[in-house]
Amino acid sequence: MMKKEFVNYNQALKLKALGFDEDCLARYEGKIKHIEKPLVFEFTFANLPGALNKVGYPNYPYKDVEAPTFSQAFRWFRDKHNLPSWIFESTGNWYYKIVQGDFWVEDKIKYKAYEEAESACINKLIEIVENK
Amino acid sequence: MEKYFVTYNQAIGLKRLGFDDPCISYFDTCCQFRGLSHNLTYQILKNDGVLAPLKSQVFEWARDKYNINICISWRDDLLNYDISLTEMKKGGYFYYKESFNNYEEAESACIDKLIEVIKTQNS
Repeated sequence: MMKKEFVNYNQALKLKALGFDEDCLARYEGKIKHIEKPLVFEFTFANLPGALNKVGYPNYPYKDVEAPTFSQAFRWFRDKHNLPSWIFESTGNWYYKIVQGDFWVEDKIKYKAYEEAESACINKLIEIVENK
Repeated sequence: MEKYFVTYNQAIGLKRLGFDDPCISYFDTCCQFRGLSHNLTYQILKNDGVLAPLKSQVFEWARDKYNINICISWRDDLLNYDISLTEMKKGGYFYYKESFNNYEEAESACIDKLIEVIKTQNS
């Protein structure tokens, strides 16, 4: 149930590529190995395409990566990249807003659930930093 | 990582309101922050502590159980944060306050106010 507190695998990979390097409560973990620090969750890729029975093989498609919570990722964008953002609701739809310098970044999509807007916001933040 | 979790007093307030979603941390009988474990509930803790949810979990609980949305927004004209607690789909304000100097302060104020609002609703 708590899995939705964490960014998805692709977002975790992109955050790492952008330099996110904080301790996390979870990790996307492809193979069994020694864990040096306590983690609450180890999400496995067993149910994802191409992962079944291929753990440890050279062409195994997934990499181990730390999984921040959404709030941790938002904090990182605020503190490290000066990109405050928030999710808000209006008449049953959800939206996000990002402050980038003197501008607001938003899309016009009406998200049906908070989690959808939250995930879209992270994707947009990643995109902004990638394009810096 | 403790900054992502509610404080002890907030945890007590949430317990009194019936918060019992599975958590990964708790405060023990000496009020010490403990964790991390899977799917802690009061049934598992028995009388040995108070659940310590992530702040984001509390916001989710407020949305799901009480239709209250919590928003912490940045005011680029004032260079500080506003907080609002609104009734989802209707837009009515339970609470609005501005001028929080940092996000953590605003976030904590939201939890305190949320507990107060729900307590009032329940009474």
